[in-house]
Amino acid sequence: MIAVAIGGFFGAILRFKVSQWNQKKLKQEKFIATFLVNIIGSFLLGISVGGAYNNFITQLIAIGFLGAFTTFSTFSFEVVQLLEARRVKTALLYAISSCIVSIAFASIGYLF
Amino acid sequence: MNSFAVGIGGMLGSMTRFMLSDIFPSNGGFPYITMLINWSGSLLFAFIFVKLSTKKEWLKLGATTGFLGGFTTFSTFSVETIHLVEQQLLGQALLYCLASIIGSITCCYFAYCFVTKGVKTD
Repeated sequence: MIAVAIGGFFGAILRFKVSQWNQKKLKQEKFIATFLVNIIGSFLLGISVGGAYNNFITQLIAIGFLGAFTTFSTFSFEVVQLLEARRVKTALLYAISSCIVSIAFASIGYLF
Repeated sequence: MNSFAVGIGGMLGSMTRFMLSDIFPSNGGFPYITMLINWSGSLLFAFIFVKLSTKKEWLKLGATTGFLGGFTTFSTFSVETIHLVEQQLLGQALLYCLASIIGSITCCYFAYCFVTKGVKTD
C-alpha cells in the first residue's frame, strides 16, 4: 500500500508536469499531452509486467506510478470537450488512436 | 502548491484503485473492476470539473488531475487487453476495449450534460 501511494504521488505529478510542458513548450492542443502520457505509460507497463505484482518495487512502479501517470478520466473528458466543440472527427480520431496505439505500444513493451 | 495537490490526489486515487482491485480481484478473467473504475472516474471527472470550476485552482487540480487521474488508468487497461488476447479470448478483448472506451466517454458525457444543462436525451 505504501508503495502504491508513493508511486501514485509521483506518477500524477509527472503527468501534470507533462501537460504543463505541453502548454508552455510544445504548444500543442491539451489532449496531445494525455495521448503521449497514455502511450508511454502503457509501453512501460508492458515492459514491467513480466513479474508478479507482489513485491514492493513492482507495486510502486506498475500499480502506483504507471497507474497514476496514465489516466482514463482525463481522456474521456477531453473527448467530451471535443464533441461539445463539434469537433467530432478529432474526437473520434483521438479516442480510436489512443486505444489502438496504447495497446500496440504495450504489446511491444510486453514482447521486450 | 498545485503540483503538491496533484501528487496528494494521485496518491489517494491510486490507493483507492489498489484497494478496490484487491477486494474484487479479476483472477485473470474479464477485468471488470478496472472498467468500472474507469467508468466511475470518468463520470466523476466531468461532474467535479464543472462543480469546482469557480473554486481554488489547487483544489480543482488535486481532485481532477490528481485524484481522478490517479484513480483511473490507461496502462492497466492496455495490458489487461493484451492478457485477454494472449489467452486467445479475442471476443472478450474486443468487448473490454469497446466497453471501456465507449462506456467511459458516455458516462462522462452524461455527467457533463447533467451538471451543465440538465439531462439531455438526444
